[in-house]
Amino acid sequence: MRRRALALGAALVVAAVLARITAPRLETEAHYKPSEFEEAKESIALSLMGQLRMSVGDLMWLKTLEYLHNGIIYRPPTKRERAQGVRAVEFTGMGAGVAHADGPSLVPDAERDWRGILGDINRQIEPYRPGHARHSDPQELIPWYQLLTKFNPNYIQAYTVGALFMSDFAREPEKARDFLKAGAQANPWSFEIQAALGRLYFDYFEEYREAGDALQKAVELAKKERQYLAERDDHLDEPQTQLLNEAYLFLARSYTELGRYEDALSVCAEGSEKLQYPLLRVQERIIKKRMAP
Amino acid sequence: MRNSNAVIETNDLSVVYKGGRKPVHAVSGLDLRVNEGEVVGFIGPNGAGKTTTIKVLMGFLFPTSGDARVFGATAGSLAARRRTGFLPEVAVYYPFLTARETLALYATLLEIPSSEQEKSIARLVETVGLSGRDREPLRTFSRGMLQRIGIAQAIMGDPDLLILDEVTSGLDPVARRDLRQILLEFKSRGKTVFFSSHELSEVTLLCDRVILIDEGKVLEERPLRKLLESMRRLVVTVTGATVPDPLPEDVTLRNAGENRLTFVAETQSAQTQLLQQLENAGAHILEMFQESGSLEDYFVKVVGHKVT
Amino acid sequence: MGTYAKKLVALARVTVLESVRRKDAYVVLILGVAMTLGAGIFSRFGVSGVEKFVKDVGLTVTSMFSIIICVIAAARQLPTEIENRTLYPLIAKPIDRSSFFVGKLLGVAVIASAVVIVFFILLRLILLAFSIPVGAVFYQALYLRVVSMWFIAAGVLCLSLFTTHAATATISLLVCLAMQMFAHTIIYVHDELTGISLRLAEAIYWLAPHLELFDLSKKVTHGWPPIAGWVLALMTLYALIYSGIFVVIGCLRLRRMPL
Repeated sequence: MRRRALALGAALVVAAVLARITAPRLETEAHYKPSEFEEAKESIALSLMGQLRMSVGDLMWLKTLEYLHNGIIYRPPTKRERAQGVRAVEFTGMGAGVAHADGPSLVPDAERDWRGILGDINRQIEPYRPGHARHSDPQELIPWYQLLTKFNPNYIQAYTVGALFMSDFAREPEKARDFLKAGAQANPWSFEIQAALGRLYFDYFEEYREAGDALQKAVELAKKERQYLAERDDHLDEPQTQLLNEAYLFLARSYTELGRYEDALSVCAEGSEKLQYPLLRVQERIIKKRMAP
Repeated sequence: MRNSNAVIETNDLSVVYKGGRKPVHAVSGLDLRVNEGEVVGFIGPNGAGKTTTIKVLMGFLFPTSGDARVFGATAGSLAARRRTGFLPEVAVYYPFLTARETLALYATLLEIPSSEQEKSIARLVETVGLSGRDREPLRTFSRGMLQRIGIAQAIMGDPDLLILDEVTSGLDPVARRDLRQILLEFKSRGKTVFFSSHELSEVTLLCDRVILIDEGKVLEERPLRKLLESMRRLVVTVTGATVPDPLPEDVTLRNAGENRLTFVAETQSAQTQLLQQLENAGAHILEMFQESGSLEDYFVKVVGHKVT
Repeated sequence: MGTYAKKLVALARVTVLESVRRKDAYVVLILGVAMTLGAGIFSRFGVSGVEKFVKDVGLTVTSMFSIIICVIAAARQLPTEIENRTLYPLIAKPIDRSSFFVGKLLGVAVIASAVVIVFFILLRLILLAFSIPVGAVFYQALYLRVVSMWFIAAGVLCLSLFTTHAATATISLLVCLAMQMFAHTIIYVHDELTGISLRLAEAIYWLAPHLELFDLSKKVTHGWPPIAGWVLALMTLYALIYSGIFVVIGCLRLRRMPL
């Protein structure tokens, strides 16, 4: 027993040392493009510990969705269900660049369940509620986001969504700010984190200079990202696009609050050209109104 | 006079081990019988089928064909095991239990009432010479001490039949003597003992009858006394003669010294032939006596030539 | 107590003593302490919403480790007895092999149940320390987990008579820990299957032992109300039926097994 305990202890120490050694491999050079880094992360040659951390991170992300739905697991509709008109309900998080769709629950409703008594028992044992998904208090997810980033500091969404929940639901914007700053340090290429940080400064701290700096950085990083993706016939996904739209908008608003109306107009013009985001036009009119004597 | 009821009986017993490249016939058409009150030694070379036979009698293995009965019931049945005590060849008991706990476990399985267990265990512990060590865990016991535990659990409940596999394996001379006394005491109470052993001296001291087995078959089955008698030989020391050429069969020259020769004749006919030859040669007999043979001599004689 | 019951209890007692004296039980304490420390660390996040997290982590650890301990204890019993030959002096006594199997099962089930109860007590203390309330569903989860231990012990003991010790432990752990994934997968793909694949999937679903139906941890974590009494009764019956099947198979196998 003692020998086994010693062996286990030694194995844990070795694992911890390995994790520490491999951790620097996940730190990036500034010149790496984000998507290059994403591709590199998929490579098993990077490190097995890195792979483990990414897998654990993904599992934890699924866990947050479970928490969001009070333990009920939802799934995408099957082909047959889609043919019958069953659709997933889309949810898009504001300012967090996250979206998910809640299809039917994994535990089927009694009318559609072929499992008889086992199905009835399953509906008693596992969390189940007929009808559409309802969300729980998002604060309950915060510990998971914090734990997730400990395992995988490169999980961008964990920072952005976690910070959103900290500020909007837990009413702790300082913690959200610190969380995002840590995320930015671990992921200096991420425009999403900078955009979220900028929004936070704008909405909660009314520190428009800091907001402007962060949002400007977000816009610059996003340009590089878009260019990289375009070269590979790819583009930002919907949540990223939404985040970028809002980055432009709030950058313009930050400049407006700081009295830098020309800069604000310039941002609106650039944003409108690249993104066709209608709210930028609205912001343009607001700026022009303010500029008017 | 001993009761002639069979305690152990096998009829054409065969056990074949399958699973390897070729099936192994461990026991082939074995017929043996042990009567009530007998002490029977079951001897044979390694791989003869002794342990396999014993395992069948205890119900650990099942006959491929034939029949084995103990106290008239199928070998290994509850009725048979209720009256049988067994000592395995290799003493293995739970190392984390103390001697007392081990014996208490077996006492419960033997359906000894709880009220009597304490006394019974105390008596057994003393009988096998483990007083003072009975509350220590078995992992601290030597091989000899574990074998004593084995003896204790085998004789627990005063069984009518004791089956012992390699009975004196691992025992020091003192323990061996103690065991001998236990078995003799069993015998004096009319109990039946069936044991295998490589210690032929112990077999000689204890047994009424010997069964010699080899390659799964009974080679010899005889009362020990008669067997030893048949092994008696004539030793003749003569002078004034030369070694006859050829020497008669079953005659060996034991010693050739200064003008004296010592011959050993194993069989009756060899003795007669030798004496005749010596008389014809005009030899002068200095000394002549009958020497007792040993079970070992018998064993080697019957199976020794097969062991190369 | 009748002599038969006494024999079973004697065998079970030896099994429990072995586990205790081998200090396997200390693993429970070490894990419990680790759980406590882990929960303590997470409580320092200082944000609300940690209650579910502590319950979730605690129950996951409890489920996982109690299953691991049950499987390892059960997988080891019979192969070790046969390999070490400690079986011979036992079977030489007037006890039939089926009783031996049942006695061993009793011992393993007692060990596993005790481990579950200790874990749940530790978890309850941790939750009390952090003022995290639990409902009646917590105690229902404890009950079902204990019942599942009997079920698992019977299955693993039975399997140990057919494969090696290591294979038994590996297969059993895979089945126990992946059962939920398996059940969910079948539910999900059922719609897409037709013909013989459909029938086969349904047959597998009905025959497979559904360990995930003994896991109330999600309901405890997310504060759901307690389940109906008929469910507990039915799951107890389910466990008894499956345990009975495993015991019968195991006894039949052991009865004719050359030793």
